[in-house]
Amino acid sequence: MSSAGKHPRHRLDELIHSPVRFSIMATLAASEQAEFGFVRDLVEVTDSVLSKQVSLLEEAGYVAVRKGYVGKRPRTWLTLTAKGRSAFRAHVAVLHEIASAAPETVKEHA
Amino acid sequence: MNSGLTSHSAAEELQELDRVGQVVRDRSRWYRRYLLALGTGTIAYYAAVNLAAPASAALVFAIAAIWTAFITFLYWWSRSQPVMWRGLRPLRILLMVLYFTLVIVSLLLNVTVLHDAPWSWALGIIPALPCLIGSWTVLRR
Repeated sequence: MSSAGKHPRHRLDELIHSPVRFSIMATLAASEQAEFGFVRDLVEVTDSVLSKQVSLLEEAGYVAVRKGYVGKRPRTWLTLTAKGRSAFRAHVAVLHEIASAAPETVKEHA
Repeated sequence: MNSGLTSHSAAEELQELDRVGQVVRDRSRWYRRYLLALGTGTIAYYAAVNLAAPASAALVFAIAAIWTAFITFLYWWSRSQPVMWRGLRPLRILLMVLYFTLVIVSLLLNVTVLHDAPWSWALGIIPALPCLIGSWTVLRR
């Protein structure tokens, strides 16, 4: 095994690592469920971008999408699945590991 | 690709995690208002029914209809909220179990040992307590 393979970044989840998908996952990790429009505004993306990214996360089994109505208004609700929650937890643990290496990084850049 | 990830960008992602988490918590404060409305509504309903019961059955029926409309509205309003913070889930389940248990307890007290007691109008305080305490707890989180 090469030394590069030991760096924690190799354990990051490529699907979650994209900034938009990370923000979506972070929002859903903090929520029981979140409405599509709320996530769109919080992540600051358009409907189509969010829809596309959510589809990718849904295909991976990380996010569940539920459509329903509140009164006559159609609503789309997003939730993290158990698999998604577990993957996100692991991803964040690796981020913490990398971030905690900050002093070494500072030395490298000094 | 993640091969270029530095501790700085990892820290930035963690900051984003904190940011969205804070927004989700802030936007979930509607639950406090929900609990306050349910608690005060319950006290008002018990008081109104107990005070109206000796006077008129039609009045009691009208109060029950208003209460049903109020609960329906609360349910609809809670469903229309965009987000619910995951950290409130254990509290929410506990409060709902306590509320419905105490509603049953207070109704039983009302028709048994406290039947015709002069202060039975105040029995609504019993089921309202978890809501009011829960509301205060949500405020502190």
